Amino acid sequence: MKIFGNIEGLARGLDYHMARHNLLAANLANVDTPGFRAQDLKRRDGFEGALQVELEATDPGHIHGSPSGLDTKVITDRTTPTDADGNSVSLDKEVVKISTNHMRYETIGTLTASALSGLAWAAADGKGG
Amino acid sequence: MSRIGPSAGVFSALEVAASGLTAERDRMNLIASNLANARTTKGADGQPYKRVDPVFEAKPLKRNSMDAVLRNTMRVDVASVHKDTEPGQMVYEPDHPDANPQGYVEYPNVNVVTEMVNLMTASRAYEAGVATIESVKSMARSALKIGQ
Repeated sequence: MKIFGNIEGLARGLDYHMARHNLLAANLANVDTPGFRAQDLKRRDGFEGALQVELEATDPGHIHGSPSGLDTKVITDRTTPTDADGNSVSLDKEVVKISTNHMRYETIGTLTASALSGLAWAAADGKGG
Repeated sequence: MSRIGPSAGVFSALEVAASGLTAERDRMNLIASNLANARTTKGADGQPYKRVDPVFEAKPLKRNSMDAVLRNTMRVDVASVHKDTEPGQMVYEPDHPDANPQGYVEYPNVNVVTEMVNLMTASRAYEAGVATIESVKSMARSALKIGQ
């Protein structure tokens, strides 16, 4: 069993939610941009992804994932109807997504902190904390 | 975990949100100009004032980044300022210094109600951008708390 195994998973979760926050912030910034379609980030690194070998890109032309080792896919919403200028961003929807994403991030952050303090407690032979 | 280049994080999220604030503030400036000149019959070119609108454009934050998220994260830019050339209202005022030989004065094509609606939209979008920045800041704070 890897000591930091669960923490690496939590760190990837933090990375994912921060990356997703970038796209959600971009959606909100482009709420009035003609022709802009809302984007979101989908996670693909489930159990099936865990068995895949990670390739390193040595040339910008190579197909690659994210540099953080996180396997995600940017998805563009093409189903939501657009308004007259071709924009599909809904202000309320994005605000709700941003708040949920924020809450998830804080939750994972708290879990990471508590996992690390658990390790610190174990490393100190159960003394303190 | 190996990192090849910069990836989407706190600062890129703040940069994107800030681009939204700048764009909405530019828009508010133009709306204020339209409202201030709602009755301006002679501009710098001697013609009645014409209302202006910003044209927004989505641009990738980092076009050549190794990170797919950064390549797809779009900041917003004001691409140009569009002048609405629709003719304004003609009012019969023969004594007005800017009246034409027939006695009509062309007033700007500014509709105060439209401008106010646009101002409200811009203001709401700006507030949403500020809320995003607050959220990103709070996320950064909670990430820093992990080490404590």
